[in-house]
Amino acid sequence: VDYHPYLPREDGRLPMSDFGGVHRYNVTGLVHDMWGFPSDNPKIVHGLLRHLVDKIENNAGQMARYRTFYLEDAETVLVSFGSSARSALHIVESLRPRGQKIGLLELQTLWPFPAEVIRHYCNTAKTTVVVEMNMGQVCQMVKTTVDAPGAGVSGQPHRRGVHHTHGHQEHTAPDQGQGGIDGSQRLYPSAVFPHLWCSGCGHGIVLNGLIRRWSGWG
Amino acid sequence: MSRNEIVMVSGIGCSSRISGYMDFHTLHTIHGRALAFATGVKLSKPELNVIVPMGDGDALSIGGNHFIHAARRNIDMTAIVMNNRIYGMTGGQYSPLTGPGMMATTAPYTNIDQGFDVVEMATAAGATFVARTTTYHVQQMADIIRRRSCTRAFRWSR
Repeated sequence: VDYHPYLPREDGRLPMSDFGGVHRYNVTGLVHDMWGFPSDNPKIVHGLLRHLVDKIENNAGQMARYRTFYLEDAETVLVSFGSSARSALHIVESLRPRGQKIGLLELQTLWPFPAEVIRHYCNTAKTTVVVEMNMGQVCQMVKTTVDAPGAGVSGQPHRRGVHHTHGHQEHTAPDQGQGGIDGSQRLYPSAVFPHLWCSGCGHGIVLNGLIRRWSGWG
Repeated sequence: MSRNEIVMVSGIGCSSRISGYMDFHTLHTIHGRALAFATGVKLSKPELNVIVPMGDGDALSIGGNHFIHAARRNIDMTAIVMNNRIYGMTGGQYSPLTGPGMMATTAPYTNIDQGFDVVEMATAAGATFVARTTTYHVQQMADIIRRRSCTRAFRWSR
């Protein structure tokens, strides 16, 4: 048959025609060849997987959803997602009135990882801090992305990621002189504290970790 | 009828591999959902003839709801349930039509569940052409499929 519904064209898309047209072919969820018929030939399996993975990775930037807060002039960029993004935003909004150039990049898409977006917003920052409530998975991804050869556009050699995990409060201090916040400043509004945090959300721990990091307690 | 006017939609299982063996527009989908995909095909191109071969596990347990509601909606398509009383390809699990007293990989001390009458269920749900035959009665099967292909309504056989 000279019709190949699953042979990618030059633009990487498939020429699949409508059912009811002159071309008859098979559609299946099994690994298939360029005619759509099931196959277990290693070459064909590899080709199909490559095609499917590339389709996602080459369009990761298009699929990414994210929100930005105060990033226009930010020297310190917080990268966060999910519920911990709310804590991070709280930090940003309480530090902005004190003149700190800090902003937040909230990721709403984690996979495929939006590397283009991260590079765009973090390469001009002096410090990048990843605020996440897990084992630091996204911090590693951000580090890899920002430190990748050729990724730097601002000429700065290294940025340091920080991550805080529930129960760990682990953190890494950024290099001195690379920005950051004066440790002598109070980072929280006195009207709000002391405050009882619910045991489930972890906001207290994240906030505690952030405050410790910038006030030099940790 | 031209082959270009026929769409065969199947789910998962021994029965559902049949779509890959036919030279129609063939759509091999997910377990139990063949009728749902077929509904989509029929809605988008009502002029096409849609045939949906399924197994007993595919059609009646995993796809039981799709089966009932495809019949209730009286969608113009042909549903064929091939009953071998077992989930064969997935590993010999008992199906809704295995019947009591039969052994299966998931019923090592034999099955305790009653089967049910699928013809009664299809009729009650609103299917307009319902027939049952066996693979032994080849002439009758061909005859039923021929008659079914002339009826414009949701059809079910076997």
